[in-house]
Formats: sequence, structure tokens, C-alpha cells
Amino acid sequence: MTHPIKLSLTSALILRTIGSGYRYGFDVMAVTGLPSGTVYPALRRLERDGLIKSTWEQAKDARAEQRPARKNYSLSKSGAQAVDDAIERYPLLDQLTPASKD
Amino acid sequence: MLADRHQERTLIAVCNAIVLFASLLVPRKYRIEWKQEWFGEIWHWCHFLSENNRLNTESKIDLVRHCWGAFPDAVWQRLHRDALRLRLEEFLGTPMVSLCVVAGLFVATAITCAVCFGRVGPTTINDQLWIAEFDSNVANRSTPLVRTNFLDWRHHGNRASYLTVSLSIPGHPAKP
Repeated sequence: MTHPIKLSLTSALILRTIGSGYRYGFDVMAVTGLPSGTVYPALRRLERDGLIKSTWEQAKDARAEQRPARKNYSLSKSGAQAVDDAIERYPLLDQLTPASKD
Repeated sequence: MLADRHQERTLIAVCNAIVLFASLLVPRKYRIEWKQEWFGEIWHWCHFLSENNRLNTESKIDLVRHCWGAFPDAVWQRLHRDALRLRLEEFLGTPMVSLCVVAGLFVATAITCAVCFGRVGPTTINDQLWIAEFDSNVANRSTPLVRTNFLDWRHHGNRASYLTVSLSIPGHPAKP
């Protein structure tokens, strides 16, 4: 039996936002209203803890469109479980989270 | 349109300069990727504002303010990203831990040998020795009931629940 991961409300909100399809740091900031100084370190921490995964888009695709490549984030399996646990812990989280982007 | 493009470029340059300055705090091995992520985000954000005709003073200030968040992010990279790994390496590098690891391996090997082979090495007893077995069913256990050759007894796979040793001194053979 695995123990639920204890997340702060901020981390849970970021995780939930990523789970809703907002995959970029700036998107997460825009949706949650959290400052970048909070969002980015939280993203690093969540990735270090294995709750989210980051991938770079194909450089050739970005080059073809004459723009820089972007790093995006997605929930890992344990991250999805952590979101469910966080919603149980913070019932308000379900209402704070925006509609799915996808 | 041209003015918008110029404004967008200026804004990107200002934001990139802030990020570039902050990147000095990021450990060198992560710096390039870290900068790429921030540059990419800034470009896309500026482009989004420009495409949607939302490139006004308020949104520009907002974006520049967001770019200052690169500093806490860079500090996090410096202080926390490798902190756990470095602490672990530092801990494992101490002589006491190395000795403990070697001692632990030795003990584990000894236990494995003892469990797998029943004993660590062959017994050195080759002479004929006589032992006395006590029958557990007999109430009076002080009386030796069976006198057995030790090697035969061991050959049958017997195990002693306890053992007493008698010394035989040359010239004074031990009485069975």
C-alpha cells in the first residue's frame, strides 16, 4: 500500500492545472494567477519528485515555424494519483481548477 | 503592424536580458537548458500578446514582472536541484561509512555461508570421540543412556540442542 503524497495547496493547484491540459509554465501562471517565482520552482520540485514529466518539442518543428522550441509538462501516473489525493484533502481544489484545455 | 513587431522584439530583448542575468545563478551544467526554457516561454508569451493585439503597457509590465521570477527559479536550481545528491555523495564518501559497508558485506557473506552450508567450514575433529546422548523421554536426564561415536552420530545428520566439552589430558584419558 502506498502512502498518499502530501502536497501544499499551491503544488496541488499547479499539478491539477497541468492535469487539465495546461502544459507550459506561462499557461499555468496565467490560469492560476500564481507568480512565476512560485510556479517554476514548484514545477522543478514536482518533476524531481516524479509527479510530472517534461518533454521538449521537436527542434525541427520549432525551426520550421521560426520560433524557439518549448518545454511542456504532463502528469505522470503518480502525479495523477497525487491529484486525486489532493482533491480529497482540499475539496475546494476541484472548484478552483479551470476547465480542461484539451 | 511594424510598430507592434518592433515592440515585441524590444520586449523579448528586455525579458531575455533579465533571464540571462538570472542564469548566472544556475549551475553551469543546467544553464543552457534552463535558458532555453525561459527564452521559449518569453517568446511565445510575447508572440501571443502581439497576435491578439494585447501588447499594451499593462501586459508588458506584467510580462517583465513575470521574468523577474527567473531569479527565484535560478536560486532554486542552485540550492536544491543537486542538494540531495550532493549530501548523499558527501555522506557515502566518509571513511567510517566505507568501513561500515565493508564490514556489512563481510557479515552478510558469513551469514550466507552459515545458512547455505550449515557451518562456515568443515570440522577439524577427525579422531574417534565418544559422546553421551540423553534421552529426552526419560525424566531423569542426568543419566547418560547412549554412548555414541561422535562421527557416526554426526553422519546421521543429528544436531545437538546443547553441547558440553570434556578435555582429555595426555596420560590421563577422559573416562566416558
